[in-house]
Amino acid sequence: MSVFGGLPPGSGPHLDDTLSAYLDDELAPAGRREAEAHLAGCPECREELEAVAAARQAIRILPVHAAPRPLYGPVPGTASASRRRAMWALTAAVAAAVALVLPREPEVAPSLPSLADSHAARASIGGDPLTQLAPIAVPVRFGP
Amino acid sequence: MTGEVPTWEAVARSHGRFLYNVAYRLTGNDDDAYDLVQEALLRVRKGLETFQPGSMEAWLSRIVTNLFLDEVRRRRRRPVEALPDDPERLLPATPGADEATDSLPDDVHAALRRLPEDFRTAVVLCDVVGLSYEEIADALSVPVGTVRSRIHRGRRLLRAALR
Repeated sequence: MSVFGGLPPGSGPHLDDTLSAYLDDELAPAGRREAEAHLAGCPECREELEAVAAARQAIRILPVHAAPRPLYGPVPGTASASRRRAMWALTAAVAAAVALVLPREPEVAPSLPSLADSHAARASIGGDPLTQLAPIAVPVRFGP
Repeated sequence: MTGEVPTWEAVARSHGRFLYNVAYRLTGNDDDAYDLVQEALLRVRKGLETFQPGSMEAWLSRIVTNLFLDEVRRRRRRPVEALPDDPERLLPATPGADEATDSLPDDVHAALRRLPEDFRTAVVLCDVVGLSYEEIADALSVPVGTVRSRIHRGRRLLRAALR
């Protein structure tokens, strides 16, 4: 209890991380007033406030760093990959057409390759265009 | 509503630049930032991240930050592979720079990447992304008081490094 009937400016514990909260406008009005009262009488806290304000500003004015490579787009080797897909689609379409024209032999079970081909034809024709734009799924590894 | 869920291409086109910048400030280098962004976009594409209506940037920051911290934790569990800071990473003294605001962006970036990850993450989310303490606490699953302390200590270390 102070003989002056209330805490003099700058008394009490130093503001420490309240200083950052003050800068970031994260204090309630009462807390803000208390912080300002303390700052008015505490050179150490004023100095620290200036220091953290400078660091804060230095980060805030950092320019936006642009990616040196495109973040998305054809995956490397996609040109040949899409040519391969086109060839498969053509082959599968021809195979499907031949299958339609040829008389069916009921005792012969459908072969796995022809099923795969017709599936490939559907998949390629109705194809998912995203596969060409897929982000490259590389495992994240940090380190120098 | 599924219509509100952004597609990864939309995210990449409209927020790729933002996302990359955050990843770069978190990881400290282009290669890791690129991997981190790819991983984040992949998660969005696979629907592994639930879009929280509100700020797209807060949502993306959260994804990228958590992927970053996951990797940091993984690396800590593999002490043999966790390389210490190499000498090139050491911050060069910046004589004559009386104010941190006078520091070159490269110096500021170098000082930032040398901060302990917990401090760096809090500082990046606050000063690069612009999240509130509560949003940061939410993203990192820590109390607001912890966020406040990490931001403040991170700034003090930065300032000391830039003097």
